[in-house]
Amino acid sequence: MLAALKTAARDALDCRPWVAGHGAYLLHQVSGRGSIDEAGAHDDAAMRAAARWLAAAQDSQNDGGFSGRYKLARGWSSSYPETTGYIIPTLLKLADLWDEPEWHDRAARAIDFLLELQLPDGAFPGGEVLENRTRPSPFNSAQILHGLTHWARSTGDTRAQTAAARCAAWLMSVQDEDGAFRRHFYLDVAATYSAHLSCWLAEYGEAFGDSAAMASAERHLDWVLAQQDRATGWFDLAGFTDDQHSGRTAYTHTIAYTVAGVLTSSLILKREDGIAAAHQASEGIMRRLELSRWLPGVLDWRWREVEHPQCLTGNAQMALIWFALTRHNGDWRFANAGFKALDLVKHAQLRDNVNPGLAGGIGGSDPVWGSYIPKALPNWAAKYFIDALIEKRALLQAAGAPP
Amino acid sequence: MKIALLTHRHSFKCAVIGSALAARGVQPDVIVCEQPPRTPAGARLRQLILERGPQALADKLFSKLGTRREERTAEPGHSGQRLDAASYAAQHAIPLVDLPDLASSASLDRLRAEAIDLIIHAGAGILRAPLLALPRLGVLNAHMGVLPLYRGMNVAEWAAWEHGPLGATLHWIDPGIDTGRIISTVPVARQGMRDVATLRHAVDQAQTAALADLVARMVASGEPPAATPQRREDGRQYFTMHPLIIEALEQRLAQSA
Repeated sequence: MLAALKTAARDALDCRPWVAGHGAYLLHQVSGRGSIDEAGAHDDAAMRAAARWLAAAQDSQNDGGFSGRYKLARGWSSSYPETTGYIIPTLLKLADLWDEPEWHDRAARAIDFLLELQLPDGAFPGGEVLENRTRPSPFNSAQILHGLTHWARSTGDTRAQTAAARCAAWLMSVQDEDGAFRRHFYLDVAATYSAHLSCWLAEYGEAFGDSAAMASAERHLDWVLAQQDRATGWFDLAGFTDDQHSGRTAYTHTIAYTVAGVLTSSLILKREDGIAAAHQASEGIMRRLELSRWLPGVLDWRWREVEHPQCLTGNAQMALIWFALTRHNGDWRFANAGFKALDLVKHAQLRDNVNPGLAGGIGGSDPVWGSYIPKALPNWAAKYFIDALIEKRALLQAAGAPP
Repeated sequence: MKIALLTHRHSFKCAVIGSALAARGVQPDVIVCEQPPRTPAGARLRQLILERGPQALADKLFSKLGTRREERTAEPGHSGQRLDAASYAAQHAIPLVDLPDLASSASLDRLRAEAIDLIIHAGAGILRAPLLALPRLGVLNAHMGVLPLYRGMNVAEWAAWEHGPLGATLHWIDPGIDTGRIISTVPVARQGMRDVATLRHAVDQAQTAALADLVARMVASGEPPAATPQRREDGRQYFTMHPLIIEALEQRLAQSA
């Protein structure tokens, strides 16, 4: 009891409740959130607030990159190249949706930042810039490839297209014979969430007619599909750590990376077996959400709860996967689950706060002291939340419902 | 044939089915009530504070005192319109068996002592295998969707949304969700469905009438009806429909009416 109180007190002090806005944010974790906005009345305000938070994350840095996260203990962290890369398509969508050039300009600054960082062999460094500028990361490079591909396709910027080509070539050069990616991964252990690496090779290959990139993506897809448990749809090696691999558990964040990667690659490569595999996993996770009315942050191979706090980016990422499946096969049970998962993220968002590091941001976990990115608001949670709200709006419009 | 209606105390469905049976000259021998499902107090408290803050606790205490007084004065006005299970049992002099749950050995022993031939699911929760094995003939259910296609929740709405077949299904309950042997399916016409309430009412009426007809035939013949097993892969499970999809369905129905 005493130990628990000490831990709680230490956790509370870590979050610096005396800093502007922190007290209100911490209170919001446990109290006074209001009812869940199922009617979607606050969707636009929620999206706008999350976009303003992303803008604040970029403005907090002087290099054009997006701060990786706002930490309650230390404030903004340094620019995170990986997520800056995949925020670019989100910014381009916002520019279109709101007809506001600001978001396009922000994407341009992000591109300049990334082009400066590319290593001589075409790779991009992993981690945030303050911790690493030299060690390459295949997974992180691929997320940047995704941003470069969208920017080059949208603007015709040849610098970005050349950088994308070099990045794709490097990724193919570090792929193993069996299709897996091990080199430059932690302990050289392959993970199936790297499906979210190869899908961007497939996207790049399709966009710019690079058949080698498509073939590389397909080899990796085969390797990932071989790791699937056919009984439950679970993908082995979908977690971050050896413990998660051996326990067959993972955060919904990396589960969603895996499923999204398989689905995206399979749609591009027209692989029905891959679409079926993604469908099976998505259905298991949908069932968990529906039965629990909550999406636990860590799930096991039977899609059972391992950790209760939600991994909010996982919710938003799963919503995107479910929306994509509804678009693909017309099964609205998936969109139904996506709406519910997003409602839960919206419920955890504090739109108004005096601190721009907190207003509109999305916590790593709900409550924010959960084990995924504890006591911090990562930029990718806001990115996926915006992406999912945009897709929700489009889906409802296509169905003839009010936006 | 000894017939039991299985429900919970606050369910109105028991009275609806009981009345439909009575119209066909059948009276249940017993009404079995389980405690209505209830979220634990701690979880309810956490949810209340999460949504409305600590002030909500005081508000709730005060409003509860006020509500109790209002409820006492309001009760007589409602009693003639919709009957809950206990009121229906009292009004028709049907024995009522109150059980804290439907899974404990004490509850199962109590039910076993009743030597029931047929249980009709009339608003109870999900039933486990030991209870399903108790009645001689089985546990009968009327489901608001066409099985095996539409299993689970809000299936009338889901069928309308997907332009699938509308209707109700009579089936024996097994341990799965709406996966038991199918006795019959009653189609419901799509015409005139101007909103979700009309849709639900039409399917509900169809299922209640079909259920009462079936039970009347069983009582007359003393025989169970023929039934066809379902294959799990022939249908899929649906869950509570999100309000935004219901809203979109309302618009579609209004436009098509």
